[in-house]
Formats: sequence, C-alpha cells, structure tokens
Amino acid sequence: MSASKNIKKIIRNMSAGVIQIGSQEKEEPVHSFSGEITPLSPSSKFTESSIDIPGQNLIKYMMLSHWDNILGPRVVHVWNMGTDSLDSGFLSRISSQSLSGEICREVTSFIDHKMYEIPDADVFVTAFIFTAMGISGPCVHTLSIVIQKSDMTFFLNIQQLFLKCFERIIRKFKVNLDQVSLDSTFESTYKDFDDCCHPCIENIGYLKKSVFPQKIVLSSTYLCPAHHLDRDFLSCCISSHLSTFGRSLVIGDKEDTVNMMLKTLSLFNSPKERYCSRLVQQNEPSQYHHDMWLQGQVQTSDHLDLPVPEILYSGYPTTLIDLSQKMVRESPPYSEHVTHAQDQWYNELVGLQYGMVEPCIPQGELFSQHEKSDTLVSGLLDELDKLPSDCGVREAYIQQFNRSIQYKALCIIKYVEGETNSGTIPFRGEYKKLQKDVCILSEGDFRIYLSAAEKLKPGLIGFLYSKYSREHSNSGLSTSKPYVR
Amino acid sequence: MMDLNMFGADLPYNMYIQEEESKVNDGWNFDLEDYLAPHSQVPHPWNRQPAGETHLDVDFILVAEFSELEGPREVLTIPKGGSSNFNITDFSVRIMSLDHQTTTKQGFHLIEDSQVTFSEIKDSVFAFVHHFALYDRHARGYVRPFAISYITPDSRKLLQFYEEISQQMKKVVRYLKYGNKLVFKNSLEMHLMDLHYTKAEMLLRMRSRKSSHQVSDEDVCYKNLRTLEANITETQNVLHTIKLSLVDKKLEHRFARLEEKAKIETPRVKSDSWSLQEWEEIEATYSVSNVSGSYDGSSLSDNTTGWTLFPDTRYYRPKTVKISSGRQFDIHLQGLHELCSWGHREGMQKLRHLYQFFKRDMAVLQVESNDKTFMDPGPSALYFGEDCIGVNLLTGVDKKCMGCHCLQADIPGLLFNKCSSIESLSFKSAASSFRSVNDDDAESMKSAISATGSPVVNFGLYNENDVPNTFELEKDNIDLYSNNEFIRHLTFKIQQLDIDISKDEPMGPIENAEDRTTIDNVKKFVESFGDGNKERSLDDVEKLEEGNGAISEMVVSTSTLLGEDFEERSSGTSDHEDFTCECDLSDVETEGMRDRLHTLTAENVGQLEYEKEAKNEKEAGSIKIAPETEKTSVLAQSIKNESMLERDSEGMTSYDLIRLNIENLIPVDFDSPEQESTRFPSNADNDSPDADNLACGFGILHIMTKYASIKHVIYSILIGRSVIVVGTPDLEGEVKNIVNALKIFLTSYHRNHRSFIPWTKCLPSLYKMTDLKLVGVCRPERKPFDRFIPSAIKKLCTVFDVKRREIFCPVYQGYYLSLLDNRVRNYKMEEMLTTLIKSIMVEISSKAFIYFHSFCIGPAGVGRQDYKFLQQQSSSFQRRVSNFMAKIGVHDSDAHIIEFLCETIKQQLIQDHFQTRASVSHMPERPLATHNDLCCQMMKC
Repeated sequence: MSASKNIKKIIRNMSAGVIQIGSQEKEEPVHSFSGEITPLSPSSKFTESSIDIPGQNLIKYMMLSHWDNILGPRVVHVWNMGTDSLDSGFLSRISSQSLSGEICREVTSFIDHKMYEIPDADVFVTAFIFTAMGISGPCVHTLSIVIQKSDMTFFLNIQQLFLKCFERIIRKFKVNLDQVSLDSTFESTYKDFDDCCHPCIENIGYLKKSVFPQKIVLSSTYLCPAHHLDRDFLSCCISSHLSTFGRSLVIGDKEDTVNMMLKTLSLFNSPKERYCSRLVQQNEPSQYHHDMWLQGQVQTSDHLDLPVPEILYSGYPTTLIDLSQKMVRESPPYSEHVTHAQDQWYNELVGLQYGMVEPCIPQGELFSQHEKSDTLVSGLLDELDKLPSDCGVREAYIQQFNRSIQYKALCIIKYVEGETNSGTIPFRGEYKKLQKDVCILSEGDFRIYLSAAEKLKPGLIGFLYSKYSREHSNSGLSTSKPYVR
Repeated sequence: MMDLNMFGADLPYNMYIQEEESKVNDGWNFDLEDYLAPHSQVPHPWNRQPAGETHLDVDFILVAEFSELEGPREVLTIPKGGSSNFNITDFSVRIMSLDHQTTTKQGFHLIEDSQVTFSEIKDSVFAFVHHFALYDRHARGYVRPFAISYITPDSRKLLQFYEEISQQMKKVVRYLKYGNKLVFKNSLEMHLMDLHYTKAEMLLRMRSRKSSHQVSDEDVCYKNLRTLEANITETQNVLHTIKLSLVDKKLEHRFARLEEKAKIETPRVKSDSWSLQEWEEIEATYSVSNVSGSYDGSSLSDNTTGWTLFPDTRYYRPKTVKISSGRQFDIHLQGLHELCSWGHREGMQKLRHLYQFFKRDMAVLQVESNDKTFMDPGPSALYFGEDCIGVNLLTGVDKKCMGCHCLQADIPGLLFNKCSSIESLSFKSAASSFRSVNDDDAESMKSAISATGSPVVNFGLYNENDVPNTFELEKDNIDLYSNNEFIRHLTFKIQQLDIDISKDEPMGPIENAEDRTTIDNVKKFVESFGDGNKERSLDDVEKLEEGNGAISEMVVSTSTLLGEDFEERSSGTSDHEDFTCECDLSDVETEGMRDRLHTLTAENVGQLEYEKEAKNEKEAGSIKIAPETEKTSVLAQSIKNESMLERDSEGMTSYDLIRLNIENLIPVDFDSPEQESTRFPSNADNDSPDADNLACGFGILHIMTKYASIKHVIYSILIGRSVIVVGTPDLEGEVKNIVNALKIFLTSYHRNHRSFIPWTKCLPSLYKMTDLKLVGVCRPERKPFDRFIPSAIKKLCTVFDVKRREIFCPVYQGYYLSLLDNRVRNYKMEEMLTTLIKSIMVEISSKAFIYFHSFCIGPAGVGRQDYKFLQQQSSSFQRRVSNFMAKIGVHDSDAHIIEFLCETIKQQLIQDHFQTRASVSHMPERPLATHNDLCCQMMKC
C-alpha cells in the first residue's frame, strides 16, 4: 500500500497510444508475483485520501474507478472513511464488478445505479456509473460505495434519499473533473470531493445516529387534547403537509414545539418516510437538506431565513410552517415546482462550471399562503375528538385515514389509466369530471389525493397536466432551460 | 478480453471527439456539455415510450446461461416471449458478462451465488439478477453458469422490494441447486462405478495378454491406467465435496415425495422426464433421449432406476468408459430441467409465483405492502372479498389498556355495555335463529333468548356457567349444527363416524346415486391413463395437489365444493357432506396407494393389462372404497398436516402472506386454455374449478350496469343477510357470474371455509345459511318461483330471481352505495370500479372503526341500564345507536352496514378467543345476523 502513495507520473502519449512509465517502476519487487494472484501492474496504482467526518458513519470507504483503455476496470482513487486496512486485490475486485457489463456504455448524462452484495467480505456495494472526464477524455467511471452488510436495512430505508444525494454529488463532481485541465490536477480534484459530499454524508450519519421515532405516541403530538393548538392552524398545517406530498419544514423559536409539530405531521407519513426525517436537536447542526421528508429549524430572529435554493432543489414541494407567526406557506404546485427544481439542478452546475458563487433563485414571491378550503382534515379532527385519546386508538385511526387516502389515490390512478388506455392517449383535462367520478368533494381534497397518487405513480401529475408544451416529454431527454439571471 | 477493453474505453472517447467537432464554439455561453447536464426525463406513469424504440412495457423474468458452446443465451422467459420490444439477446450478453467470481482458488469448489441490481436509465430498464452455477459432469470445469433476472421498467419496484425479491430468488435457486446437486452426485457416482469397472476390465485384459504383447502396447495400457486412476481420484474428490454440501434433508424429502407421486401416476419409465418437459417446454433443441447414455455409453439400462433423483445403485450396471485425457466439447449439454430434475419443477413454480406477484402495478403493490401491517392481529381485521382489508380495529392499539376509560363506570355497567353492543345487531343467538325458522315469530324470540342469557361473550369476560346452559336448552338443535360447524376444523372422529354411517347403510337409492358419481369420477381418472392428453390432466391434478401446501389446500377446498355439489343432488341433508368430500379426496389417494402397490409388485405387467385391471377394480370397488377411505383419509390428513408444518417451519414471510392472498386471484395453472379444457372433460368437474379461477369481483361492472337495483342486493350482503340468486338451468352462467362478481362484498371470504356457492342444484337448508352468505341456486324449469323458495327463506334471505329480474330484499337508502351506483355508468374498465369499491369499503370501515372504539367499547355507548323490560332496554339502545351514527355522519341504511361490520369483527374476536384459549366445544354459534325489522320489498331490476 505504501508503494501506491508515491504514484508515478503517467504520461499518455496521445498520438502513439503508449503509456510511458517512470524508470523506477522496473524495480517492482518480484516477490509480489508469487502465488496465484495476478500481479498488479504499476499502472494499477491508485491515490488514497481520507474523509474525516465525526459521528456515525454509514460508509466504510468509497472508490472511484474507470474503464482503462488497456487495463479494463481500474481503481483510481479511494476515499477512506475509517477503515484500517484496504486490500488492493479486493478493491480491484469491487471495481471490476462495478464496471462489468458497462463496456458498451455510451456517453450520456445518466447516472446509473448498481447494488450487490459481497457475502465473503460481509459488505455490500452500491455503485454509481456515469461518464466523466478521465485522463484520456470522457470514459465510464464508477463510484463504488462500500457499506457494512449489517447496515443494509438502514440503507434500504433511506435509499431514496441516498440516491438523490449522490446523484447530486456526482453531477457536481463530473463538472469538477471536466475542469481538471484548466487549473488543477485530478488528484486535487479527488481530494476536493470531500467538500462535495460532506453535508450529505454528515446528514446520513445523523439519520443513522438518531432515528426518527417510528412509533409516535399521541401525547407527544398536537393531536393530544393536553397540548392546545389553534384548531384551524393545525388543520391548515396538516392539509398543507398532505398536499405537498408529506414534506414539511417547521420553523419555530423553541425546540420542543418544533419537534412536537414534526411528530404530529409524521403521523401522516409512511414509516419509510419517517426514516428520512429528522427532529431538531440541540448542539446538532440543523442545516436544511434537500429531499428529506420532515425537518425543523429553530430560528429566533424576526426575519425568516429560508434555504430557498435547497427547497427548490428537492423533488417534491414543501410546506413551510412558521410556528411563531402561525403561518403556513407552501411551495408552488408540483407541476411548477418540477421546472423550478430542474432549473435549480442545472443552474448549480452552470454556476460551478463558470465559477459563479451566487446562487440563482427565481424572482418574486415563491411561497404562497395555504388557503383553508378543505374538509377532509377538519373532518378527521372532528372524528378524532370522538375517539378515546389513549391506548393508541387515535393513532390507529390516523393510519386508517392514511389508508383511505391511498385507496382514493389508487382510484384516481386507475381512473386515469382506464380513461387514457394506460397513458397512450392524452387525458382531455376533465378534472371536474374526474373529481366527481372518484367521489372527491372539494378542490383541497383533490390536491391531497393527487399528491398521494403522484407518490404512488410518479409522472401522473405531469401526465394529467401536460397540455401542449410537454408533448415531447416522453422522448427521453427534454431540453433544459438555459441559464437565466 | 483485451480487445473488449479497448473497445469499451475507446467508444465513448470517439463519440466525444465526434461531438466536439460538430459543435460550434461560440464563446461564452452558459451551456454545459451534454454529458454533464442533469437529465430531466419526466417519467411516464405507465412506462410508455414512443413507438419504434426498444423498450420494456411489462416486467418479465429471464433465465439465461453462459453456454460453453454458444456463449450467453436465453434459456427461458416468464411469460413466454418476454417483452415484445425488448432485445433479450443483448440483455443476456450483458448480464452474463457480469463478473461475479469471488475466489481464485484452484481445483473444484462450490461457487457462491451473487445478486446484483442495476439500472439502465437510458432505456428505463431495471433488473435484479441472481447469478448461480449448476454442476454438470459433462461441462467444462463441471460448471454451468446461469442467471435469473427480474426485469422491470419500474425502478421503485427493485428499490422497495429488494429484500423480498432477493429472498424469493434465493429460495428459487435453492430448489434448483439442490436438485442439481443430487443429479450431479448421482451422475458422479455412476461415473465412478463406470471408472472402477473399466479399471477392473483393463487390469483383467492386461493380465490375460501380458506375455503375448510387446512392450509399447503395454506402455499404452499403463498410460491409460494412469489416466483412469487420475480420473477416479478427481471424481472422488468432487464427489466428496458435493456430498459434504448435501445437508438439506427437508428438500431431499420433498423431492423424494414428488418422485414417488410421479412414479405412481406414470408407471411408464420415460414419461417421468417427459412430465418435466411438459411443465415448461424448455428448448427446441432438447432431445428426450438420455444424454449421458449417448455420451459415454454408460446408459442407464435398468428401466426401474430410470431418470430419477434417487436411484438404487445396486441395480446399476456399470459400463466401460472410453479413456481420454482431454474433454470433448461437441456434446450436447443438458437442459435446465435435466440438470435440476425436481428442483427445476419446484423452482420454476416458485418463480412463476414470484412473477405473478411482482408483475402487478407498483402502485397496487405499494398500497398492498402498506396494508400488510393491517393484517395483524388477524381476528380484528375486516376483509372484503379476498384481498381488500377494510380496516383493522386493533392494529397498533394497546389491547391491555383498551377500554380502560370505561372503568370509570362501574363494572356491571361495563359488562352491560359490552353485552348490549353485541346484541345490538343480531338480537339473537344462532340457536334462536333455528327456532325462528320454525315458529316464525322472531320478535318474541328476541326477548326470550335474551332472557335466557344468550351466549354473549366478550374479550376475556367469558362466563363459563352461562353458556352451557344455553346449549342445554337448545341442545337438540345445536347438536346437528355443531357437527357441521366444526367438522371441518379438527374433529376427525366425526368424520369417521360419518363414514361408518354410510358404510352401514345398504346401497339405498340415495347412496347409490352418490356412489355412482364418485365412481364416475374415479373412472375418469383411470381412463386418463390411456390417453396422452388426459394423462397430462391427471398429472396436473396431482401436481396441484402435492405441489405445495397452499395449492394442496386449494384442491381440498374444491373437492369440498365438489362434494357439496354431489350431496346437494342426492340428499339435501348435510350429514354426508363431509363424507363425500373426504371420499372424493381419498379416491385419489386410494388410487395412489393401489398404484404404488402395482408398481411394487407387478413391475413387468403390461400397460394395457394394468389399465384394464384398474378399471375392473374400480367398477367392482364401489363398496370397497368405503372401508379403505378410513385408512387413506388418515393418510391424506397426515400429508396435509405435513405440508402445513413445512410451511410453518419455513416461516411465513410477509410476502408469503400476500402471496397466499393472491393465489386465489391468479389461476394456479399456467397452462394454455386448451389444456385446461382437457383437464376437466366432464361437466360435473367443470363448474367449481372454473369459478375458482376467476378473480374475486370479476364481472362486477357488467352486473352493476345490467341490473339497476343491484345496490339493494349489495346492501343485503353488507348487512349480513344471505343472498340467494335463483336462476333456471339455462341461466347457470349468468348466476355464477353474479355470485362471482358480488363476492367482492363478502366479509367472510375464507379460502377453506367458504361462504358462497356459485351454483348448486338444490336450495341449501336454512341452518346452513348462517355460513353461506351468497348462493347461486338452480330452479328447475317446471317449478314455479314461489313454490321453490319457501316463505321462511324469503323472510330471512334476500332472493334475487334472475329469470324474472326481480329482487326481494330490504330497500337501501343511504349514501355510500348510491354513490357507487351513480358512478357506474362513467366507468369503462372493471379495475376502475373495483378500486372504487375498495376505496368506498375502506371509507365505510373507517366509520366502523369509530363506532367500535367510541361506541361499542368506548364511553359513548354507555347508557342507562335500569330498565325493567328488555324491550325498553333494546329500544333505548337502538336510539343511542342511531344518535351516535348521526353524529359521525352516517345515516339510514349505512348505519346498519356499519353495525354489521362491527358485529363481524366482534364475532371474529370471539371465535379467536375460543380457538386459542377455551375448548372448542363451548364456542357460541355464529348468529344468523339479520335485521328482521327491515321490511322487504319486491323490486324489478
């Protein structure tokens, strides 16, 4: 391993296609050729750096490898995150396993995902395959992330978030690698990778350390009679939370009120979504993280400091609940939010590419007040009042309520499926008829059901509201908007 | 390998260069390279892509292998043909080129499986691949690499169900691999015997001509001997390794049982492998002939050992082997089914189940997996049809403290409250319902039974002194009834008793008719031996029965149905019901035993002769069957138990639970429709399995649009009133359709304990109506409707006359079903409607939840209890119910539905209480829950 640290300069002679190796390389110790193991050629050296993040850590180590012109799968860099020893044979095995089958991959912007177990090493690998700039132009790269097998269940629970995070990191990383020739070497870019993934890894470590409570007791929520909260406000919070796909950011001046609201809202989330949520904790950084379901912030100043770019970056809209001012605001509706999000993804990369630090956000008032127009949640609150508040009866009823929302959402899906012959003919925009036929009474309810339906069937809202502009949206890549300032 | 590498790395590079050339560089624009830009592909909700592109429309399973002759190739797909627009060959190349070797050890060793999921977002293909290796003596390095992949256009499926799919794949491969290991072991053992034999021969030859030959010849001989010796050591080593890994006795036992079965059903030798082939036509290239035989000459000459997993090596006659140090590669390699024998059959079956489960819409799967948590605790779950959970009243509820709030009131109050809530709907025990049939005075009965202390039971508050009293009072009525009620559960003694009864009876006209039908049945089985097609059908029947626990259960239940059918035709009393069903089942068993005898004793008897004999025996055996039944039904029972045990021990995963549910949904046989029709050639067999195969609620859209007043019938089902659909024989299909469609509303749909009969020849007696909620009855043409249905039945049951399109039932006036009724016209597809129905049922159930928790066991239901007269008490209770219902927004007829739903769950809880804690015999009867105060009307529809 020590030999790998002093990596030799490899100069690629582009015209001849020959690799020139420094002269010391010839004195490679002979003893390593013994045994059945294929000898490691000098160019299979890789650089190594360590990422030091305090607290719990899900990832053992990460490694970048790519398809080498001559050698095939080749390890390029390893980020060690607390593992003592790295076996280079094992690393190259992982790298070849991650890259195998990718031989004919074209240059695309897609980031593919692969996951496999290595039973004999008691780990599993989750790998991202993408095209990035290598020494000799763009080629297939893979970032293999090695995780302890015992963390599998946790990983599967937060997988959705994990994928979102790393897709973002890799997109940024790709831009960084693209700039290598200008002002830095590959090595330094690899080292800079920590900064890229630091917030994400820290967040995941935090989720692992303090899991959001899976069983919510009524007494720790605002639905318990003991904790009084204005009923209209509560109903507003819940219905807004439901119509923004179950995503909320709660801001308040005290930790326990924020947490209580988070717990109240979490009753309406699925267990998996709860895994990707976090409570506010003292002494812990509570930076907003994109694509989490529930999170809170304690802000004492009068002026609200909203992490707008990050909120826009998430895949789903978000409800913003301000406990101190009793205000419920929400992101623009989903179809609008999607375009914002895509712009945001694009702008971030452009900013990185052209060195613009200032994040770019759309002008004007983004977040609108939640209008109080629905009967579904207030009906629920009335019914909850009739039920005994102990023994978990109310919690159970809320679960039943969630189920009824899901079934109704399924109705919408099946209705649209039947009306449009599984999406082969466009939906002719008869939303009123749709609402009537699946027995939805109010507009507010419809939004709640529709967001549940979109969660069950991604792309449904896009399909329903695709007027004329989105007709090409099925054809793979749709053109991204240019950078606007 | 090097070439490939060059290609792989250069391809993107070249493409990049080309792109760069074509791009006009116009200076400073805020643009990203294409490969850097985030993709903004909007997913299509149903994964439809513009026509012409290669893409995936449906999920499928691909089994591929890395053939040493052809390279990566597809072996089979489920369903056949895979996805229409998908290039399977390319995909096979891709997955089989994945490198999954984990060790660099030398020599023979067992290779570990590996699983990988990967995505190809560009084509929106997502796959779960399980790599494994099978052993084949004729293959290079003894190894044949295979991979099973689940391929889907929906990424979330693999993400969300990773663990489930992974588990199930492992199970599938476990079958395949274990079967393969056994086959491999056998082939090695035989080969070893061949080698030893050859060695002995050679030594003998050498010795005999030792002097007469030259030295060089001897040298060749010596060389050969050395090769032979090396071969022997190698084979022994491999055999040793393999034998060490054969530790799964349970699977071995299972395969042995399958083989035993197969031997019985197909006494001819070759047909065994043929039956495997029939299960799935594997490849066109596959030849039936024994491959090993043609290869090295060591054909398995002994016919009895045949192509079997458990051969008796004593009968094996070794052959000389051609000695060559190298391997031959021009041989034909064995197919998957030959490599794995019974493991293939079992594995593929499991794989098909896996496919049937996961191919469904992801949205449905997700909702279902959410519902999974609501299946526990079982007794408090309310099901509609077979797969819709309306609500579970006790999921997540702390049972220990539940109802504590009532303790503020005094204990008698609590008791009363609980009693009254149970009384609320039925007002009668089951016992009383019998009497009410007799003396038609329901109103007086109500008070009478309540006065004697009806068997009212609640959670843990069971007073043992009370209930036997009631039983004492109603003993005459109950005895017969309870026989019927519990006979299916556990009381095997009673079955024997029944059998004895029938045995004692001479060949009376009734018995005769019954026997004849069973004999007919048996004959059919026997005849099927002759004809190829029919043999297949029998094969399938047997497979269904022994295939796995769940399926065997299903067959049992169908045979129960069959039995009932016969019984209805012949007698009309239910005494013989269970006898017939047992008999039906055991006929197969009897025959099985007999066949086994045949195979053991008369191995060389010609096929024809055997057939004749069997036929004769059957014809004469009409009386013989009865005594034998006793024995064989014990056997049947034990087999059933065994399979149950096995399932238990494997541990019911959540997946299994749901799979059990959907097994009814999907036809278990995956054969083509032509085969299905050959399987049940006669009419008698035809009706029940066909009805079974239909999904629950199938045809509901048609029925609801056709019959205008159907909502009243649905209402009757939802308040627990039995519904009798009457039709003349020519309307058989229509009646069955109606029953099938309406099944979706049944709250007591169980797999074994049926609450419906799609079509029966004779009106079931009233006391059976406590169990049966939905019956299709045939009315003889000449018998007028009014005479066919007695007034007692009309009073207690809803009658739907299909012929005259008339319904006699209580009128529905309420919100939910009208909602459903109004929407039907706008629905084009059945799935739309069934989903809506489920959603409405869930909504109604939510109301039932509130009613249960805050009224039945909560404070809202507590009222005064100092009434002197029961009548007063009951009417005050009724008032409180309707007041409460109005408060939770439920009016008119809907209130009755909710009351009934609650009663159903209570009943389930009581039943569970007795089944788990108290002795079975003290369980109160299921009440015939009807609202007698509802006035019925005759309606046209």
